[in-house]
Amino acid sequence: MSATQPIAVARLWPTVARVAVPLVLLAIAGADAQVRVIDMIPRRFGNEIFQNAEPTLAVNPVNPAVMAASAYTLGGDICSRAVEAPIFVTRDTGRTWSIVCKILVDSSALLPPGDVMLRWSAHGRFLYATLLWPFNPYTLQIFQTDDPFGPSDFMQVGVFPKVDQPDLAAIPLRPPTVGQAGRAAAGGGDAWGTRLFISGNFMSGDTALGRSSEGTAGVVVIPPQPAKPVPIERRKIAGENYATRLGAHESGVVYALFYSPRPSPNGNFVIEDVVIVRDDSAGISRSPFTALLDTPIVKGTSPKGCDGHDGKPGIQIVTCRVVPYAGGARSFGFQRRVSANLSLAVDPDDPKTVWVAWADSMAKDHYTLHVRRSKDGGRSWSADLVTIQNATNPALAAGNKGNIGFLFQAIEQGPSGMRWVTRLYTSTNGFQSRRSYLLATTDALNPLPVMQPYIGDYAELRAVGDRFYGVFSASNLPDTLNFPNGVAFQRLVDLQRKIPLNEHGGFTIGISIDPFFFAVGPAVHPECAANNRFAARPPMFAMIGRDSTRRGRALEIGCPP
Amino acid sequence: MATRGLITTLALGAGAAATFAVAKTSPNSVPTKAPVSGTIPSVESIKPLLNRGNYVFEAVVQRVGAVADSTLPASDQTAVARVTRVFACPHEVGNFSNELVTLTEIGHAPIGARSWYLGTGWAIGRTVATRVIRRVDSLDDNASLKFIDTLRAAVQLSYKESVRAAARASDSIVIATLGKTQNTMQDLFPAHTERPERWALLNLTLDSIRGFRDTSSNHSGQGVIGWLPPTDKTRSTAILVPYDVAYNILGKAQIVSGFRRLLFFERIARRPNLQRLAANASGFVSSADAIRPLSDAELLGATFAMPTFSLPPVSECPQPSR
Repeated sequence: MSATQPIAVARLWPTVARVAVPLVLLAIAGADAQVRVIDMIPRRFGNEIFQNAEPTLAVNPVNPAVMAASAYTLGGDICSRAVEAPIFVTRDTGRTWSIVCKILVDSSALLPPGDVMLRWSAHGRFLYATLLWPFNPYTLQIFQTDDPFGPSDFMQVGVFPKVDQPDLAAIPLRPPTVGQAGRAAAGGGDAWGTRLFISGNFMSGDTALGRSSEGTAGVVVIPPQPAKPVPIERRKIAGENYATRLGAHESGVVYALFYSPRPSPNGNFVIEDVVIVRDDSAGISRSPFTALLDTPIVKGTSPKGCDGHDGKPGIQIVTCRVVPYAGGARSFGFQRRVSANLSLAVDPDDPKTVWVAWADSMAKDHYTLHVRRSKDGGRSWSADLVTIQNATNPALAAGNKGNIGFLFQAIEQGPSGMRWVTRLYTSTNGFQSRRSYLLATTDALNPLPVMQPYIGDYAELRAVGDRFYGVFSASNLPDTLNFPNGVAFQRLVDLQRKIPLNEHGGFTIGISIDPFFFAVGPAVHPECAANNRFAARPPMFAMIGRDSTRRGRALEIGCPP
Repeated sequence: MATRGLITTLALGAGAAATFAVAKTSPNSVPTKAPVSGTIPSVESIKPLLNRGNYVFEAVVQRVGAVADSTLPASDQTAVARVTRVFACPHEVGNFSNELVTLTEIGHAPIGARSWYLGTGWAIGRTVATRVIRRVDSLDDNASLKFIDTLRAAVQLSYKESVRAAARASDSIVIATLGKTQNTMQDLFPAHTERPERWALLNLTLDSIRGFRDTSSNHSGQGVIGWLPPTDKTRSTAILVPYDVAYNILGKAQIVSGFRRLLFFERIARRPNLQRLAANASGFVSSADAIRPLSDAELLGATFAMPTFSLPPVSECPQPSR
């Protein structure tokens, strides 16, 4: 560099500053945008029309800008002639998403792997995945990678045959206490610095899990290795537990939530209890997940009745609920209903505060979502803090300082027909007051389904501090009115004509179900601060065609009362 | 421990100067150096590559140690190249001519050099990233044309083999005229499974059935493989096809009736739940690949399957009258 250059820069500095400083401020303001929704299908993947249902999301705890996600996405020819299935990755907090071919499958694959769950290790180094592959028989596979963006496949760390509906949680590996040291050290997996919990519906007929010949809720804890599943359903059940959801606190307190089926009359429904179990020792005690015991048997009452108690591990949050097993009927937006609509979140500041959500059909609607909270480690429960009718895919996430988020997808009648409406509720006071973010309102009957689940048996929500990140699946019709808080499409679309475009910009592809990512920040909307009347804005406001957005930041009803 | 396939070393065909490694089950294990040659590889050496990857393009390296998409990590194994021609690409990705791509390989072509690449898909974001499994450097125009011919021959051979493999794996090989598709079968109950399937019924008029005809006079098993007529009873039949094969995402039928096609299908008895779904169905296909153009029949060679359908007794000539 010549000696004159610094002088020139100094002379130019006021001009540079005048231009650059506002640009920097703009960038910061953009970073604080309150709501951001993006269709995750990359532009270069323009001919993609598969039904990308059932999304999952993992946020790196050390660098939350780095995330990984999944949805049913055919590797097809893009991933080595169907030898691999892809996942989605981002390095910029979800502003741009790529797909990378990471999951090894086989070339006979007609479907992508099912029930993919992704989680990051506590130190942010490893990305873990559980998934079902192959489907016949269902086989649970557990993978890890330290390079989610690189070209190498996930490395397999475990396989369990005949398992369905896995969930995954990861916490920092703690030094084992006296008496547990030998067992933990035998696993030899301490170098990971992470303990994994993998739940599932174990259908192997293993006598250790033999609460039901059809399938029993169990949890695999790694390390130690080799790991084997331990039962968490301690009651005799009729049928199978199906999905189990996990919530883990870094202190080693781990919860599991599942439906426990009772004998039911014939029909497309099951009478079920919603049960929560807890483990206080990171899953390595001699009797894992038995920290929560039901009230002992009361004389003169039947332990098998809906009001009965049996003293066994597992608190029945509610009992004798009707849970349907129904295929994808038009009346419920083509989405099936099965015992998978559960969610669990643990307060990162207090492992005794735990939130649950479940679905049942006690009311005369398709499905009702319930949200409840316990402040004493799952022993006693609040009444419903949130109740949503005709909805599915509940997803809870707890941030710090009491921040709680609740994501769900509801069927609502709009002016032009039924719509899948995806909303996020956030609250800092246990939903005494809440802010509601209308993320998407899309035609419920278009496109037609090509398989089940249609939009998925779950959506996912993650909290980092006071920010919420989530994924959901919905119709990708590029109509800005469908996304009242704004939307960005990576794939080519014609927003004026409201049609998706193929990779050449042509009109040859139709609409399909795509995965959408969203980020909701903590900033208080100026309108909320200025005038409380916005709190009374009707929920239908955005759906009838008026754009309630203001530079993509508006809320639907959004202001706290 | 990772599940990795065996690393198999294959020799290139005649005239080839190098060997290369094929990871049978894990196409994305990077450390193996991709083979490079300045000569045209043989058809036989390209065939296995086309079974794994179908990114085939010509490109000029622009930067080494760089990536075309900032999402991806740059390393000494990555390079950015400008694609000048694309010869094969996945349908979902489309033609990426004149775009920058990220190449991953150990040892790159010199900056500015034009090379041919066969690669597998790795990442799709704003741009395409491929892992190079074969590179051919420094071809002049004549050599390029020869290489294209080699590629075409390899593609043709791969296709023929895939047709025969699919035929061998099926229960019945038939030539049939497609009929109407019957709309929407409900999800298979119970829904309490991970993947309740949706199927549609496709009506068929069988024209010919691939079978083995015993031509010996003493039923010794000697005979010929060929096309046989169906019985009158089995001429009209129906099979189940996946819903998304029969209908597009808008619910419109996408199987056009009246056309003759070559079909490979499975016995319905293999799937009792499907049998319950449609009692009149004699078989099912699992994918659209099982309904093929009629011209594929010429590629079958001696391939046949044991027919599901009963065949009429066949004699070369009428019984002589007494």
